[in-house]
Amino acid sequence: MTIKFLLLLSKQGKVRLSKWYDPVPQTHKTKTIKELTALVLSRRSKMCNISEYKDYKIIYRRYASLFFICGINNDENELETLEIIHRFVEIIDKWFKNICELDIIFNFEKIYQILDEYILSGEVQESSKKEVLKKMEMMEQFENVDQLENVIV
Amino acid sequence: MSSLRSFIKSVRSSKTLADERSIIQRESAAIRTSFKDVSITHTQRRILISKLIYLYILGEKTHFGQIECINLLSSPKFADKRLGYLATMLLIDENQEVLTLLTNSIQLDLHHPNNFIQGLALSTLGNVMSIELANDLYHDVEIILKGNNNYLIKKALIVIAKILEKNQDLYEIFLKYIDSLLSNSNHSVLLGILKLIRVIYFIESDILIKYIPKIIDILKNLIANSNNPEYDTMGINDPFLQISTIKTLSLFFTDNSLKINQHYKDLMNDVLTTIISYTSYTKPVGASILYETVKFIFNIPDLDQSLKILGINTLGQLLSVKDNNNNRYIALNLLLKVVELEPLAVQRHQQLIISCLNDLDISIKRRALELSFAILDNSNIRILIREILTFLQNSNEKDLKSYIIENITNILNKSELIPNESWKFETLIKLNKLGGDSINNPTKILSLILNNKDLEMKKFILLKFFQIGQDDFNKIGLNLINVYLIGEYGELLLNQKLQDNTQITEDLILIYLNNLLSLQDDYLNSYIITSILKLSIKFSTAKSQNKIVEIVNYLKNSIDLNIQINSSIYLNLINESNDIKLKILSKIPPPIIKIPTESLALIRSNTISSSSSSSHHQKKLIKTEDLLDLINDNDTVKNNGTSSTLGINNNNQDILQDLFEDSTSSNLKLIQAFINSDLNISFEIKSQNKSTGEILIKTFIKNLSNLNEIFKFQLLIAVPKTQKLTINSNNANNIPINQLIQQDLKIIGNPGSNIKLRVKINYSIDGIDKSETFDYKFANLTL
Repeated sequence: MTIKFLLLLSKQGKVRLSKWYDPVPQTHKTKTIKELTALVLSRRSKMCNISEYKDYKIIYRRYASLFFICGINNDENELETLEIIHRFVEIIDKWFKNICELDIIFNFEKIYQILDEYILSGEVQESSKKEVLKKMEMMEQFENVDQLENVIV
Repeated sequence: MSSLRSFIKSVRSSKTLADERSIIQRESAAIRTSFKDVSITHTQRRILISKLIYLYILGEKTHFGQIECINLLSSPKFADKRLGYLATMLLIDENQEVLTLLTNSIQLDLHHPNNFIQGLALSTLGNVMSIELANDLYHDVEIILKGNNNYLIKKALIVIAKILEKNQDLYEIFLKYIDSLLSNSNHSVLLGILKLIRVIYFIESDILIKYIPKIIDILKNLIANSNNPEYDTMGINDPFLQISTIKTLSLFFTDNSLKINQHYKDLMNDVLTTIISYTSYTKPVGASILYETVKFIFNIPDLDQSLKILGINTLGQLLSVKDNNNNRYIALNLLLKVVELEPLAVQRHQQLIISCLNDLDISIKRRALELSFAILDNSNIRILIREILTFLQNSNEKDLKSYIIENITNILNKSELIPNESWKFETLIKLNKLGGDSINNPTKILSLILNNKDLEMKKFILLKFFQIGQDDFNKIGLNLINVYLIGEYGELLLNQKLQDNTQITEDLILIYLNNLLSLQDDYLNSYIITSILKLSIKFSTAKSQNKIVEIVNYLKNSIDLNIQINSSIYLNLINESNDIKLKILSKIPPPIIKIPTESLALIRSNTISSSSSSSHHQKKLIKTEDLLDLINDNDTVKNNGTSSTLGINNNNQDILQDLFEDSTSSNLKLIQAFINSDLNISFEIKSQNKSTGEILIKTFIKNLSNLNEIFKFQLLIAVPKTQKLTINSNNANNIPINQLIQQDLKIIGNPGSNIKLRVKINYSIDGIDKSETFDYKFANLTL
């Protein structure tokens, strides 16, 4: 499963998070985000979660006020991508204990860190939710020790 | 320095867009200045980098902070490194110069005593991998494989896959790890090694065949041990790993050029059957596994009949899940691809396919329509056409309506499908009543009516069409048909009765034509004027004659030059004697539309190919392109790229073979390797010297667009490292509309070795830069 990018978009069309696994220039990113915003927001809720865009597919799902959008190649598994998105939402929901859009806005670093423990260069690297959260937990401890040292010094 | 939180808050609270811009620009400038300040603390530096990431999310410029990210990650503190690496992954990509500054830090951190710092270095490497980083650091990553920390190994494996994508030559180093890692029970390590195997497959596939039993075992164990709480997803054991194994195995079993022994094939068939029997299709996770499995099945070249039917039935099950249009989308897509192989098996799911016509998603409707036409034959034509007409009645999408009219008209032209003549014309009348506004090609419909020999039937159709036209002036295509029919057969309409019992008179017909003038459609008017001229010999009353002259006179003032000229000529002609007029204005023979005589199977393949290209595009296809398409359909070469050639249908192949024999034999060697909406790429073997292992291949790149020229075309090709490739330079960088360019490849290698290409193309069309990569392996061809 190779994901080209993951976008988190609010229903007002604001970008809450973007991660690109293909090396594309900023101008291309901006253009794609603009076009995908128009595309995804214009789709009605009863439509399916798969749409064609340029020469690849976009898979998206809405959770509360946020759209989670992935770009994948045409020969990839669309249904699996939906599961990958769903798993990601479950993981961040567990980490923040009932996540809301504001958590994502103010804690984008954590979301990125969780994402990097779950997906690496577009591939699912860890299929256990528990393991992702456990490793995040341990890294938090290391970071806290660092902070503590700062205070003591 | 303000905190990140207050920055985010102030951006969010800005009232206007201009407000927001000024806040962002002020903060961005402040960050730049602060970076220059050498006295800032690590904590402050971290805040700056966090803000930089926020700017990145907002889509702002962040290039000025790249060096700072690299500085931060070289700090000894974990928190600094963590943020530094995170920012580096986001703000820097593999194409940037500053990447070289990263090599040293990553190398050191790959050997760091803290596993998490090693992990960060690996994650970063996985995100930003350049050829230089790959060459400099592959050895350091290899060392991690020798350890026993699964957390690092899983990351390292994906990183190595990325390294090999940059430099294929390094693959041999990692072969020795495959066997033991496939025995690792950790799921994430297995995910990693399977990814690596998939990448190595494209470099050298034969050496991997021996691992097939082990991979099959992984899959079998996953299915057998359903009780695994750590990886359980709605009662299914690790769907991601299941899909990854299926995907990996499918590479081997769908590759015609690999020699895989029968025992492996039997094993594989058993497992595929087991998955289909034991995976629940009602759960979304189950559906995703079944989908992968069915995709696999349909790509197997020498497919077992029972497995094929099983696959199609599974798609039927997926279609049957209520309120799940994602399933519908993928199932219809796959059914469209296999309908040629097994039309009858697909036909069994007719009801489900028809029900998809009512979906709320237009892309699903379109696919259901295509499929309905594809499964249509004389056993179900009445039911299907009835359903499609109902759909037409409720449809507002002009594209779909035109598509339906085009297809039904074609079907009505095929006498072997039609139950009887009266059904045919009833359908034609309904079709025009419901879709008269979306007719793109009136000639075909006209031909149907005009070629009908039965006079009573013709009168009936004329009346019905006239009635529909009277009721609604906005059906543009229908108006055109009516105007033509009136010109040729206006006399047959006379004295017939409309629905409200009004008798049709010369007057009524002329009023109708006169009313159409109010649409001010010059194209329609150019037909009206001819039609009215023809009526001048059919209509006898003085009143009609006056009216005819009046209308022609009116059209003399048209701004359209042709109509002006014609009306002037016609005015003279009207005053000529009847003898002359009768000769000039007699009926012209009905247009003959060439009715294709191929068997149904080929009609199907036409429907499919029209589905891949948009309908208006299809019409313009020239003959040679059709030929290329056919070759593609007939091509047993498995294409690992984005295009989706399926296996072959024996019946179909024969028909196609015949077609080839009619055509020039030089085209036989032309193999289409890649196609997308803009262009296609084909190879032709020019010459080959088996003793020296030398082959010359011509590459043709054709611009498929009817609108846009392709600019800056660039073709990059890589071959396995045991071979040597020379490409002559492009004879042009731009490909004009519908034109092709040619490029010659010369490959030298060990005689008898397989020929595999990894092709990357860059080009620009309609102002958009595009890039595509695909792998291509020549089947039945060795050096």
